[in-house]
Order: sequence, then C-alpha cells, then structure tokens
Amino acid sequence: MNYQYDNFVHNGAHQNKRCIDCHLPNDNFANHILWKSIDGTKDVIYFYGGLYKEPINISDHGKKVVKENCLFCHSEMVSRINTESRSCTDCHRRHTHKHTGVF
Amino acid sequence: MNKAKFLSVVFFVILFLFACQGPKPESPKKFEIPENEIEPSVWGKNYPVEYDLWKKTAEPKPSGLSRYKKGSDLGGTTYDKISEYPFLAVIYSGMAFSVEYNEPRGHYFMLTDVLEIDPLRRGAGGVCLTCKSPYADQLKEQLGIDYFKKTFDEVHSKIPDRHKELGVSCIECHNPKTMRNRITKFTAIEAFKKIGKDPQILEHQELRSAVCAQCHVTYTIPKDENKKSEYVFFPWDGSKYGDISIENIIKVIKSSPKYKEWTHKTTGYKLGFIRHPEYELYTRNSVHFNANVSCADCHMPYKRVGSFKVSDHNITSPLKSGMKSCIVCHSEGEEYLRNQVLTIQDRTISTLLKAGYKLAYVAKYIERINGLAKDGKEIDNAVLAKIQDLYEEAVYRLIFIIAENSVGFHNPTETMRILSDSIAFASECEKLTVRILTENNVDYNSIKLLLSEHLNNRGKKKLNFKPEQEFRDPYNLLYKFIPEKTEER
Ligand code: HEC
Ligand code: HEC
Ligand code: HEC
Ligand code: HEC
Repeated sequence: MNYQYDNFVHNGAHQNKRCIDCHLPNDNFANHILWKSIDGTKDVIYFYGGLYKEPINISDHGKKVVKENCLFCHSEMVSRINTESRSCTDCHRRHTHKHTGVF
Repeated sequence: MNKAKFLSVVFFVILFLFACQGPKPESPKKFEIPENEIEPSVWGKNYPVEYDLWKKTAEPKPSGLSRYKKGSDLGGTTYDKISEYPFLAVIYSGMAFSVEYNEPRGHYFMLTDVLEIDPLRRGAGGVCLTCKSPYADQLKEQLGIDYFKKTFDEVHSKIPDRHKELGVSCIECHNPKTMRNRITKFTAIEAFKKIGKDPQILEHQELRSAVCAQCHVTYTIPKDENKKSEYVFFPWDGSKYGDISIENIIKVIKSSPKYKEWTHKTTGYKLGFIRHPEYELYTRNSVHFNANVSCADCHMPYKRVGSFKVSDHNITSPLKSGMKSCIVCHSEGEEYLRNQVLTIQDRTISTLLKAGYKLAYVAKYIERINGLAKDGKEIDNAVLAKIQDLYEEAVYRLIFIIAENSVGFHNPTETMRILSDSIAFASECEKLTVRILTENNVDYNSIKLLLSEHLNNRGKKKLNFKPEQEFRDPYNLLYKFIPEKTEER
C-alpha cells in the first residue's frame, strides 16, 4: 500500500483524515470494531504471507464502506440528490488514489 | 468594552453566521402532487429550487463560448442552419426544412418555436406535438388516429389556453409520488421494448439518459396514400440497447414506402428523414457512454445551492456553463476542456462540409441525368437504380450527423466513421453519374449548385442567406475542391 499512502499524503483534500475514516464503517462503534478486526487480520495475513498482487484493487464491500463514509460526512450536501447507484468517486475521480496523479 | 457594544458585536456575528448558511435542506416535500399535474408551478411549491432552474431555460446564455451551437446565445439572433450549411438548400430541396431550419434555443421555447416557424414545417400535422407538449399522450388517447392526421392547428387548439406554449414539464420526467425519473411518452416506451429494455425497470443511471431519449432521438412518420401522417415511431427495430446503428435505421427506412416521408425536388427521389439522433449516436460505444456517464451528468450537473446540491434543471450546452459538469470528472481546467470539445467539432465540421458539398453536386448531376432521360436519351435502368440506392445511403448518413446536435462531440469516432461512409457512397455514386454525363457529352464541371437561387427569398418570411453565419472549413481544405465564394458554387 505504499503507492496509496504516498498519493494520499501528497493530495490536498482530506489530509486531516485517517485511512480508517474512509475505509472502516463509522456508523456505529460495534460495526467499526467488527470490521477493524476482520480487515486488520486480513491485512496482516495477506501482507506477511505475500498473498497479494500489485496493483491492489478495492473489493465490493470496500467500495460500499467508502461510499457510506462519503455520504456520512457530506450528508447535508447530498441530502436532496439521488445517490443510489454510483460510487462518489465515479465522478470525483481525483479522490481515488489512482487518479490523484502525484505518483 | 461596554455591554451595548458587546451585544451588538454578538448580534452581527450571529447575523453573519445565518447569512452564510443559505437555504436549509429539510425535507422539501410539503404536499401530495396530484397524479396528472401538468402545471410546473404546482410542482414548484414542493421543489422551488428545481422549478426556478427549470424556468431559467428561457434565459439566453452567455455568447461567444460555443462555436457551432449559438441558438441560445445572448443577443436574440436566430441561427439559421441553411445559412450555416448552404449545401442543405440543395440536399433538402422540396422539403420544409429547406425553407426554415434553426438551431435550438432552449427547452422553454420548444412549443413557441414550432408556432413561430414557417407554417410549412407544421405540415406533418398534430403528430408534431408528440415531443413538444406534455399533453401529447392525453391527446393521442382522446383523438386516436386523428391525433396524427389532423392539422397541427386543429390538434393544438385542444390544449388548454394557459398551456398553449408549455414545453417539457416535470411530469414528463418524474413520478410525482416518488420524484423518481420515469419515461412517459408512448413513442419511447415502445422503442425501448424494441431494443430489449423494459422501460419500467431501467436502472438509475440508464434513466438519467432515457428521460432525454423521449425526444432527443430520430423518428419516422409513416404516411398513408394521401400523404397524411398515420403514426410516429423510433426506427430502432433490429437494434439493441447500446447499439442503435445508422445501418439498422437505414434498413428500417428502406423497408416500406410508407416511411418515405418526402420527395427530393432535385433528384425526384422519395426519401425518409432523420432527426436529432443524440441518444443513438451517444449510446453507440462512445467513450463516455461506456464509462457509464449519462446525458444528465453533462447537461444537468449537480449544483450547490447554499448547503446542499440539486440537479441543474437549466439544461444547456456545457460550453455555456463554464464546463462545470466536465470538471467534476476531469480535473483539467475549463480552457483545456473547451479546447478539446472545439477541436473535435472543428474536425467534424471540416469533414461534414466536404461530405455535404460532394453529395449536393451529385444531386445536381442526377437532376441533369433525369433531364437527359426525359429528352429521350437511353440510359440503363439498372445503373439508374444503383445510383438511387447509393445516393440514399449517402444522404441518410449525412443527415444523421447534421441533425445530431453535438457536432461530433457525443461520439467523435463514430461520427467520423459515418461521415467517411457517406463520402464513400457519394464517390461511388459520383463515378456512375459522371460516366453517364460524359457519355452524353455533358461537361459535369459546368454543373453548378446555383445556391443563390435556393438560399434567398425562402418561405412566407422571405428569409435570405446570412453569410456571416456560414460555417467555413477551419482547415481551409474545402476550397481546393469548390469555389471559396458561396454564390459561385
Ligand atoms: C419533451 C421533449 C424533450 C425532452 C424530454 C428533452 N428535450 Fe432537450 N430539447 C427538446 C427540444 C424540442 C429542444 C429545442 C428547443 C427549441 O429550441 O425550441 C431541446 C433543446 C435541448 C438543448 C439545447 C439547449 C440550448 O441551450 O441550446 C439541450 C442541451 C437539451 N435539449 C438537452 C436535453 C437533455 C440533457 C435532456 C434530458 C435530461 C432533454 N434535453 C430532454 C426536447 C426535449
Ligand atoms: C460527456 C458529456 C456529454 C454527454 C454525456 C452528453 N452531452 Fe450533449 N453535449 C455535450 C457537449 C460538449 C456539447 C456541445 C455543445 C456546444 O457545442 O456548445 C453537447 C451538445 C448537445 C446538444 C446541443 C446543445 C445546443 O446548445 O444546441 C444537445 C441537444 C445534447 N448535447 C443532448 C444530449 C443528450 C440527449 C445526451 C444523452 C444521450 C447528451 N447530450 C450527452 C456534452 C455531453
Ligand atoms: C427533461 C427531464 C426533466 C424535467 C422536465 C424535469 N426534471 Fe427534475 N430531474 C431530472 C433528472 C434527470 C434528475 C436527476 C434524477 C436522479 O438522478 O435520480 C432530476 C432530479 C430532480 C429532483 C431530485 C433532486 C435533484 O435536484 O436532483 C427534483 C426534486 C426535481 N428533479 C424536480 C423537478 C421539477 C419540480 C421539475 C419541473 C419544474 C422537473 N424536475 C423537471 C430530469 C427532469
Ligand atoms: C461522469 C464523469 C465524466 C464527465 C461528467 C465527463 N467525462 Fe469526459 N471522460 C470520462 C471518462 C471516464 C473518460 C474515459 C477516459 C478516462 O478515463 O479519462 C472520459 C474521456 C474524455 C475524453 C477523451 C475521449 C474522447 O471521447 O475524446 C474527452 C475529450 C473528454 N472526456 C471530455 C469531456 C468533456 C468536455 C466533458 C464535459 C462536457 C466531459 N468529458 C464530462 C468521464 C467523464
């Protein structure tokens, strides 16, 4: 995840946010802890086991979590529009690590 | 600091905070909108922001930003497509479009513009209201076949007075209960079924284009023996969702003499017609369609109003709204993106002009050959039939791109493919016609388009050529083939 990290810390928006603000559910504490343990365990196994291939891609579940977090923080902004189908980053592409364009 | 001073500072700070906040996004729904409510101001009571934006389609847009689509520009000039593309006077001769044919100027005016244009253009009858009035489906139910057949004025008179000039309204794109998009027009409902899509269960992103596909598509009006309109449908038979090709559309037009809506004066051919195929061109494997982008993403971008966003119902060219919709997805700046669009359009125009003039000259050659045949010269009927077929193939492709409103941007590579095929068919046709002319000792070089005869004194309004509106080839190549002066062509 070096690539993702480098792009993230050099990107303007969201610099005061932590990875888990977007990548773990923040709707309630129990859910947050549950996925923290699932994803954390997975990351340890995959990283030290060398079980992943670059470039890494986000899972469907991962996408859903990110979108919910976008909508959570920007709830007022999107309160009237229909957000049912796409990821926010389908349009706001520069907020994905791949399109930040720094590295 | 004394107490009064302190309180007034606090007061202004609070006032300042409130002033910055703008409207609050509390649930805007105030009452149940009736099922068949056509009057937009009633919808506007629940959704005042969208209603106000919708009304803004009546306002002119900043001028000088779009190069080829100036219809809604500030200044009130009417942009005349016959002056922009003078060869159209020959290609459309004998048809209402060669009399008066203008660039679009905004949704608010869609019915007004039909009422104000030369009366010949309303010749098809009540059927024209299908894409111009929210009463269309209701009138069709009421009048049956007469809705299509009766004169425009007769059917139009049945619309209540206060809505005689009302164009596209909330009810045509929205379900009043849920505000979800939906398609309502019978033409579109039938057409989506033909391409294998159930119009009732379109996905969210598909709907954001499908609502526009109710009107921004080509259509065919079958004619009875007396040239009266019988129906109207989209010629999508044989096509699939995401793959409505010009080839299939031509196949449908050629499949019945009923679909030959007009007779071309220059060649004497009975031909079909193609109108504004935005949806068809866009959805055929364009880069943006394949990237899951919809019409609304570019023409109705989300707009911040105070602390929330709404869809911008002031629908217009992205070039006239600061390229805002593009910038959401493309972080390159406004000027870079505008330049991308204009370059695509310049290339389209250059190719389009060459295709148009080539075919216009071919039409004139055919006119001459018809004259020879009339004078008793013997000309092989099989060759004449071949010439007619080639001309038809070329002209539908040409009209497709002229009638499409983005000047190539919606699908640049497909646009170039269609235009180069038009030129290929026209060249083949030209070869046959020139051979016949030469065999009969006619110098084809002496045949001219005589544009001044066609371009001036048109219709009831006696419209004249507006030379300042003519589109010139941005790369100047056209003038290697035809005279630079319009009147000399
Ligand atoms: C009921 C038919 C209808 C529907 C639905 C419709 N349009 Fe239109 N549109 C028209 C007509 C007719 C015009 C030309 C109006 C005129 O100039 O009088 C037009 C003009 C336009 C223009 C040119 C405006 C300008 O400022 O020059 C754009 C852009 C446009 N439409 C986009 C869309 C989009 C995007 C959708 C879907 C969200 C849509 N339209 C839905 C009929 C329709
Ligand atoms: C990727 C962005 C994009 C998408 C998606 C898109 N358009 Fe456009 N559209 C444009 C641009 C750019 C123009 C050129 C405007 C100009 O030249 O001023 C244009 C032009 C038009 C015009 C003519 C505008 C005028 O001022 O006369 C119409 C009508 C239109 N589009 C309708 C549609 C419809 C219907 C769809 C969906 C089938 C669609 N567009 C999808 C970007 C888009
Ligand atoms: C040409 C079609 C069309 C017309 C006419 C139209 N809308 Fe919309 N409207 C849309 C589209 C497309 C969306 C985006 C919907 C989505 O993404 O689910 C939308 C969204 C909305 C929304 C949801 C919030 C938002 O702004 O995204 C409201 C409310 C709305 N329109 C109100 C109206 C009202 C009121 C009118 C009449 C004054 C109207 N609309 C006319 C196409 C239209
Ligand atoms: C919803 C997101 C979205 C919007 C809105 C959008 N684009 Fe794109 N555009 C894309 C994607 C995705 C591609 C595919 C290539 C890529 O990934 O950059 C693309 C490709 C392009 C290309 C290169 C391909 C081609 O067809 O020539 C151009 C030029 C372009 N866009 C211009 C525009 C302009 C101008 C607008 C506004 C009128 C616009 N785009 C609006 C997402 C978008």
